[in-house]
Amino acid sequence: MTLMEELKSLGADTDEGLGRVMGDSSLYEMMLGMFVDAVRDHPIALEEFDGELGPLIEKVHLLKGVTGNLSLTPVFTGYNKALGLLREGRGDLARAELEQLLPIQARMIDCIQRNQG
Amino acid sequence: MERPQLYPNDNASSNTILIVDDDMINRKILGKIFSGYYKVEEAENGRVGIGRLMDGRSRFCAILLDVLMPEMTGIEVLRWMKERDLLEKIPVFLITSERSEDIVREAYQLGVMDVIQKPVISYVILRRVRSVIELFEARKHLSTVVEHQSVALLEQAEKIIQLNQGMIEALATAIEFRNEESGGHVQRICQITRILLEQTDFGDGLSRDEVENIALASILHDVGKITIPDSVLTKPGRLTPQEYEVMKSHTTKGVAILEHISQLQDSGIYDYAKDIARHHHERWDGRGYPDGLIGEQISPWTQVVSLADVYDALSCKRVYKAPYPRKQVREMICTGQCGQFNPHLLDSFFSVEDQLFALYQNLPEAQGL
Repeated sequence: MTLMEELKSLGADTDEGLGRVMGDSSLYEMMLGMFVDAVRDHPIALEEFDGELGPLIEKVHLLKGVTGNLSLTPVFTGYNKALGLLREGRGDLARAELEQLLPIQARMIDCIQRNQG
Repeated sequence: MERPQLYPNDNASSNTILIVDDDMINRKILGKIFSGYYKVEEAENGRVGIGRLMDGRSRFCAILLDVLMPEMTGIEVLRWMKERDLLEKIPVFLITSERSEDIVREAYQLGVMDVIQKPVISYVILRRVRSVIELFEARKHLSTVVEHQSVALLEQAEKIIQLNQGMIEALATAIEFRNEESGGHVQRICQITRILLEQTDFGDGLSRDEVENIALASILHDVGKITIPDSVLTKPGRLTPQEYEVMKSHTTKGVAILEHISQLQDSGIYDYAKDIARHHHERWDGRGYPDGLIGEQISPWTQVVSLADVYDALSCKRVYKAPYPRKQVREMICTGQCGQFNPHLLDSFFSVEDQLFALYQNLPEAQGL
């Protein structure tokens, strides 16, 4: 299975993501690598949901943008919901959303890293 | 896809899009979408974006601006641009995932061209941005064309005005030469008229254009003298009563001549010129000619030209007399030896007489030469 096919099987809308970069698959794949870097550089710890939410909101906002641009739909949807909840000050519900998306995100990252070496 | 011809990739044209976004992926996506059509520059936050603008804004045809950024937000960039009227010159698109109505409202109030939601749809953003850029370019081109045409029209109008003025002056000067005068008389009447109407309260209520028309019309005050025979016009001695009647007719004949110049009738000077030509020998006490008008029956501009005519005649040599000294000229005017003038006009006249006298210094005909 190719990278694109595997991501699709995980729920990503790669056709939409590719369309966003005018069908340039090498650019899209490069940006998938940037998504992996962004998750690594902005790790989210579940304890953060119990403290000051400001820095957490910034990180979730960033990851929402990245996943939205790449159309990594299930992850994007989770970040989007979590961000809305965080802005309403409902950290507990936001954490639940994040807990749901993290396994899918991990599988997507694994898929990208395997395919990109 | 074909590149648009309006924006050739040269430095003379605004063909660069500035993408201001802290998210590199967003910048890459937008860069990819637009790089086939425009040059692209990137800035990772608002402050860097403003730096690019300060380096030279003329190369930018549009700005794609994120909202939430470190250092300086998109809204702060918009405020900075608004203060400098840059939003009128460069279309700015807010590219945002924020759905806050307050942000969108403020952005539009500041003058943003459009708000486009992230994640962007390539063909939608491309069409929206290109349409606005084309509109701005077309508007800029139209403004330049209109500006050039306006300048050309103004230059033409100025030439026509100068030509008309030159012809009027030529006509008046020709009459002066018949009168064995230098031609400078009409020019000085024009200057004195302008000074009295512009620099004293006697001209209150007249616009700058009206004063200019009156000053030009004053040049034609003696146009009727072209009909007066040389034997009368240049007679060195005293005129007989019959000759004086002939001489006086230059006022009414002047009007008749002006009425035959059809091109003059559409001009702003026409009514003034007729009034002045007919009535510049009327006097405040009603003892002038041809109609014996009294006081305010004589228009203020005609009163001014009458006084200017007398002042110049007294100050310069004529075929029948030498120039009078300044003191005597002032006294003759003040005491009404050349006819009575409006006391208000005399006050105005004496308030600028130093300036008027300066016109005669170094003038041969004022030295009796």
